[in-house]
Amino acid sequence: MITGSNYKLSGRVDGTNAEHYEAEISDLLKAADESFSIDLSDLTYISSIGLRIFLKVAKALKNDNKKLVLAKPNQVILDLLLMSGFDKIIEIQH
Amino acid sequence: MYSNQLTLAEELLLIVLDDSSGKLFPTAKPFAIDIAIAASLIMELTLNGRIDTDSEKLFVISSKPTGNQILDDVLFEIDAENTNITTSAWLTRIAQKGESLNQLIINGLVNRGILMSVEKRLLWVFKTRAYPPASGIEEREVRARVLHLINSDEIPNPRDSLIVGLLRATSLMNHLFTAASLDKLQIRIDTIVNLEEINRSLSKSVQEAWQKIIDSTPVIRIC
Repeated sequence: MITGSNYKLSGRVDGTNAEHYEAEISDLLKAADESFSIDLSDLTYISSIGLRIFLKVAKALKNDNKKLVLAKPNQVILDLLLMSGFDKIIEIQH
Repeated sequence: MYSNQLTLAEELLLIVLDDSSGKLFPTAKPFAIDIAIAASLIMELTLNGRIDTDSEKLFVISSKPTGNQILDDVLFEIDAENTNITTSAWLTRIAQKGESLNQLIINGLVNRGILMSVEKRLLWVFKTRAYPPASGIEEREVRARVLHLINSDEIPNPRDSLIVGLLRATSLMNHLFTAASLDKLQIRIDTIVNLEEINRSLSKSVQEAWQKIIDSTPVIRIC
């Protein structure tokens, strides 16, 4: 789902659909304000390739002095993000 | 597809080879290089959208050949496996072919003119083969990329995060940094490495292999 500087990821994100989501998000980044938020509240599963989307988006935004915010992950996704140390690079709001 | 671009396995081998001797760097954990080579192949397949992983398993998302014979052989083997096997178990399995994989990768680099194949004599009698770099440009480029990433606060791209994981697992960071610098940069290195699940599986596999060696070493008791 797309709303301004926000994007919502739902269900499963893995190597079979990550490219599609990455392309959708990339299209929105130019119009993003100083921060771009991805709502993870309905995200149930994410693989390694899915996680790389966050890094690529965060890198692209940082190059434009903007930042990525990952919002409202469920406990499983939050644990995964913390285990991978994403919180050291990307702001996570939970 | 892979005619010019170096694969992670090739980049790793360029760093693992000692330029002066043209041989693999002696390391306290020689098996770590085999496991890292296995990991580099799986990493390359994930970067090319053939394989995906999570904390529990590794799975094929496309069995379409990449055009690189070594990668395609690994992809075929993983695709043919019917049971779910963890990433670290796959690393251990593929690492068993470490020596032949290393040689295939070196041969590829020789064929492309990146390494030279030189016959040497050991003790003036035994013939041995060494692989010094032709120009060293490729290896310097990889080293420069890694050094820049580690010394900055840049968000790593996946390929660079993976190569840092490979270098840490093979203890080759010691060849890039002094001990004092390495101490200071350890947190940054760990942050970069930890971002990728395969790097964590790689560390686990190396740790398990090391533990097996320790467990199988007879303890000498001095009474």
